[in-house]
Amino acid sequence: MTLEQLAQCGKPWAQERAQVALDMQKMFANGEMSKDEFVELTQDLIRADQLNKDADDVETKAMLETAIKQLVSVVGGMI
Amino acid sequence: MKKLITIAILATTLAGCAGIMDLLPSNWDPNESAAITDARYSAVKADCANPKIAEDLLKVQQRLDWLVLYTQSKGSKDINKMLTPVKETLDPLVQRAQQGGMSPAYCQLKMKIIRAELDAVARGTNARNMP
Repeated sequence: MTLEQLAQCGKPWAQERAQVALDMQKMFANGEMSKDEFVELTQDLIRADQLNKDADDVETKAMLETAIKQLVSVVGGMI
Repeated sequence: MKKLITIAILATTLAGCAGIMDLLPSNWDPNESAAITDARYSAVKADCANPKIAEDLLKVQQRLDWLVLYTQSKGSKDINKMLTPVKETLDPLVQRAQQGGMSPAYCQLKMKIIRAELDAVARGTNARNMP
């Protein structure tokens, strides 16, 4: 899948990141930023992906915690 | 008595699961939520066209540094872990802004990434349950 396709894929987080990558590509090609700035931004985009996964992880764990508390309450009611 | 039995059963069951505590997030904390909101606000206000952008970025950096220390001392490992990549993105920008000479294109794209990262941290920070 190309960046252009990702920018239209319907997933907001992927679209946003793909658009930044496309802008980077275009601006670097136009000489609007240096090579080291371009490389740094590329690394930032990769890190941002992991960060979103970590945020999802915290959300999932919080839901799990809520479910466990509900289980404790149900078991407590049965004893 | 029933509650004590319930707690004893669950404690015995859960203690058998290795690393069960790692499956649970840290608790929601008003100071952490306030700090990440402050950092987001400063990042939204930071304008690459402003010659004094270094000062605005310094506000974001200082708020994040405060949050790093706070989450370390409180033991919010999950939130602390998320702050490391944001710092890795932000710190070189602050350095370039202070030294001068960064391109406007770099600044604009960097700010987009930083705002998205701070949004993700805020999402995780506020998704947690009350203690």
